[in-house]
Amino acid sequence: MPQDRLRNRVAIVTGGTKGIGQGVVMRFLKEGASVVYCSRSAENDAENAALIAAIPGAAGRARFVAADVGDRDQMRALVEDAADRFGRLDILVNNAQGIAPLAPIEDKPDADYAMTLATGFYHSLWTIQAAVPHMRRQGGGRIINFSSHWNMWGQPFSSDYNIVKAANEALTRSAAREFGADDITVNCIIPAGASFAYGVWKRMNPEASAETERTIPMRRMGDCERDIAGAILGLVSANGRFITGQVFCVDGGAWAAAPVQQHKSGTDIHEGRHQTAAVVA
Amino acid sequence: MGQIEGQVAIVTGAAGEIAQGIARRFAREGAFVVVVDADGAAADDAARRIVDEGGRAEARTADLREDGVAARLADAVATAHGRIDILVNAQHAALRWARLADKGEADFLAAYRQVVHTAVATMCAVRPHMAARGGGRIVNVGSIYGPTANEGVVDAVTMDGAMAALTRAAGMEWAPDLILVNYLQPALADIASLADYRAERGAIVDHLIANVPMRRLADPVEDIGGAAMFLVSDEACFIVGHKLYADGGQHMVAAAFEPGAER
Repeated sequence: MPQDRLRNRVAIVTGGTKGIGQGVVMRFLKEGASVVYCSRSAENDAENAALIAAIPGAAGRARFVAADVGDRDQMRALVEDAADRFGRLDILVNNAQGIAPLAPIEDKPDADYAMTLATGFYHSLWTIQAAVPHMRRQGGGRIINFSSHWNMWGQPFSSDYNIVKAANEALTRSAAREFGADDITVNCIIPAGASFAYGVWKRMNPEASAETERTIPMRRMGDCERDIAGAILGLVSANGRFITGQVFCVDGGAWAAAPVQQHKSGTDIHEGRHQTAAVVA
Repeated sequence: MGQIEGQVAIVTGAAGEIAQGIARRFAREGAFVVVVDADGAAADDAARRIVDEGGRAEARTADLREDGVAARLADAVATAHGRIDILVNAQHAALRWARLADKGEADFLAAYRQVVHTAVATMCAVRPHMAARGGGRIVNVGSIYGPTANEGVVDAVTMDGAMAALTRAAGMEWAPDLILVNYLQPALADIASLADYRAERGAIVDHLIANVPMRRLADPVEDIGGAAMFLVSDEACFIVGHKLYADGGQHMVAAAFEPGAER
């Protein structure tokens, strides 16, 4: 139940138009925050517009920005946009991640590693670099990065993705130590959410996905808004004020049960929404 | 409206200041808190403090190491208050500072009985009451010595590891019934029992604080109590068997607090 836990707070959520990012945007809006979120094109925002219209009082607190998370200038501009528009910046959720096709290590192009790093690791780095001066000036802030079970388990054919998630975990620990004195907490989430990609894989593999869900102790994937965004809400609100530098599984216990979501090389669980351009400056 | 309004929470080891911080936070968020300790006077004090702060609480004296005590406690609480929503296990071993070679089986058995046995007994005692109402939350509270290699407390460190494993395994077993078991690992807190040590060896405490990423010790209510609230609130409804550090990042840095090395 919403309890105004983020009243007068300003948040940025990268990649906020589907799946977990969308869940975070909606949960934050319902808890009273102002939320600036991005996606690559304005077309992606159509569904959010309808969802936000249904949340009383949220329209004036929600702001969509079309931005490519693989571009440093656009990520800096996103942060400044939020701070300018709403006058402060309290929360940064680095949810977005560009996805390359699944492929074995010996076939995966360097360009895919570069793109995945730019849209996952560098995007998180760039937004943190831009956001911390605002948070420091205000006397504190909260940063959430994303990792994945696929990094924990060495998921085959997604080595680029796994490596980026390991980098995000390392960035989380370093940032927690560097910014802790400024009352800025930095944590990293490993979610098991019913994300867009999971939904595609589930349709393609009904039996395997049923087995996966059976092996999760809570017997299901997480709801993006209630379950995954709920934990993020806890970490960025008052309850989480002394929690920092941690990698945290929000997964119904999947971390200990290690269910199998196995893909063949070349499987497309993102339905063509791959990114190919690498824009690391 | 509090985050756990109307819920009933049991907090064991309530003579401890960290347990009291958690209990006070729960009461502030609307729960009725049953504070339990073998030291009845300490439990009374803990309950009285909550009531003085405007919360709702009662004290129960119970030595959970004894057979059947945990089950009688849970049944009595459920009978008196109609429900049990939350259990916090915050029993800690009474420490005898000595290195491993100088400890004996008696130290380990006593620590096991005080920490692991009481946790298992209490968890199993509340489980039917939680299951009957569609779920619950259990928070096992770790030892501040657990994450580090403090010398002279190897029995406490061992029980901390056992409690983390118990939490993981019970978390897996009970999650289908929506009884979510998680582990809260606190750090050195700014509590009265630290004051003596600080008076004696202030430089060590100052060195530790300088290395803690957030540059301060934990406040039992706001920091550790807040993290406990996170684990028992709707926010943590999809977190199972996990360890959460409520420590301002202290687990990332080497321990400077090694009382055993000096005694």
